[in-house]
Amino acid sequence: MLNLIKNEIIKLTANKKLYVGMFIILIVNLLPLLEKLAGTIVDIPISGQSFPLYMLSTYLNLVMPIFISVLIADMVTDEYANGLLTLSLIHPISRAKLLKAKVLALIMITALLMIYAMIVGLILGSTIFGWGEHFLFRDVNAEITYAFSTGAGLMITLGSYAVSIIPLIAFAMVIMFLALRFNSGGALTGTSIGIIIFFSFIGEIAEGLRPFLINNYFTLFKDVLLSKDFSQAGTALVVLGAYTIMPFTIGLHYFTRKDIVY
Amino acid sequence: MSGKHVIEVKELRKSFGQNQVVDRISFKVESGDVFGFLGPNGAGKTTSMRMMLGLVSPDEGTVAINGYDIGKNFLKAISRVGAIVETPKFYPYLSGRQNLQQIANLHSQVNSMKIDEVLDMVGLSARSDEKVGIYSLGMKQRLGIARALLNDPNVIFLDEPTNGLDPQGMKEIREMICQLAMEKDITFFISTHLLHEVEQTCNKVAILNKGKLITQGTVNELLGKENEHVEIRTPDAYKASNVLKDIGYVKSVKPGDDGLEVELEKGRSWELNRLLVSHNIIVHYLLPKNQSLEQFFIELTEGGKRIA
Repeated sequence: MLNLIKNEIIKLTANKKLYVGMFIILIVNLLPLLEKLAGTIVDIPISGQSFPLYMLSTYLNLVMPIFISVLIADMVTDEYANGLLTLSLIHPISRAKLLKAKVLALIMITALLMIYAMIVGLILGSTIFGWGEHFLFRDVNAEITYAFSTGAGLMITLGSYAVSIIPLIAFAMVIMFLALRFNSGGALTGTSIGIIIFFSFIGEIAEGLRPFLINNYFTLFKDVLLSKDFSQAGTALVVLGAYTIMPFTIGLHYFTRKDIVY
Repeated sequence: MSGKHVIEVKELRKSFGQNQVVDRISFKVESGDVFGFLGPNGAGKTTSMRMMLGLVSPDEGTVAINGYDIGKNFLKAISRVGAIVETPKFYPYLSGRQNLQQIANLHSQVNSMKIDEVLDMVGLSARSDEKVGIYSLGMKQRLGIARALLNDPNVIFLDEPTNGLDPQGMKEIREMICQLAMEKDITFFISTHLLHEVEQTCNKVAILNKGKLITQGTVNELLGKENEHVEIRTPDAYKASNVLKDIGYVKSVKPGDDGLEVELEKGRSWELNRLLVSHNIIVHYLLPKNQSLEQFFIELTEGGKRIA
């Protein structure tokens, strides 16, 4: 199993798409600079130490889901369509192990990307806004400002990035399930973006459906580490658990029986 | 299953929707065979090979490799198999060596020395650290064979191994197959639509058309290697035909575009030439003629003279 995960990590790290994604994360971090220059974030207390937490919602609602979709399209759909999946499957490796290795490698890469995004946020945030005396955090359109010591604030930031891997994994499992059924990586990425937009739209027009929508729980870190609404966090974990386990189990069942015709 | 049968296929059948792609084929491949799986494009060869390798589930039938059922005991059945399915595929952004390392990581017994060994065997050691994206098709085909050899297989499946190669590349690959079969005692299962590839490389052949196995046997029996075909370019076709009709080593005489087409015992064409000249028949050219797969199928399915 370890060698299978190693294979996936080697492929992911040798692929240009990972570095394009990392570059995009860098560029996204520069957007608040434009906002600052345009004068649109004057009311929000941002400093270098709180900047990664300020950026986290943007990563979770847009950047990371798209990036994860691109990586899964490459790892699963394109590998299948390009006949590369066959390479592993004509060796004494079970299909279940191969799929699990892909999932674990994706989780590892996602975790590394989150760490990278946090470090980039700290460096660029400090460069653009200065380090700041206190850790003050207020989300866009929110009324509460959270104030922490620098040490506590940084720990909360680290915890928030770590907790945020949970909804990203759940989203990844939904996309992984779709990836097993698609024959084109481009079509999968397009569909994934469509799902993100569709869920956001549905959540806006039908508030009653929000508790069942995965994107409603992307910012789980706020319930766990900021508002400390553990009831809401519990609901989120149940829903995210269902989003993780169901697609993975059905996908695994499907993959072990799938005819590999490319 | 008998111990000497490396591959045993029984009543294999597969449909995709309404399309019956493989229709109850059965055959056995013995240890040491270079077994040709011959058929035109679309005959069902690749689907059959995919079923044999456990990539596609058959609707009916079984495949056993080295005595293990591929459906029920996949890991054991596939453990001593090497394969190239369709054109050899690689991760273009990895080097040749890294591509082999990907497969080596799937086998506990394969180490970096083995990678060096197989790269050397296929003559790619000097280029192994270059990205596969810049390899020629011939190099990819050789790297594919190197990959198929990594786990010390006793049977290798090759799907159209010379497809897209230039004549020199084709020659190299065929020589490599024959060399490996003899020196390493590897059984080869080669799917191809090229009749002369089977003639040059294989000792046994099974012939597939429209999903059905038409016939199987030794290449000498089925492809008539005891006979050869020549084209006689002559302005005296009628006279030549009369001379040849009672000659024992001449098996058949048919009119051709600029003379006659003759099937005769192998190695007797010099006698044929001398005979024609001795009868004052002008022979412009005496040309050896390769039988096309299409001609062979027409003979096999309509003429019926060689069906085993």
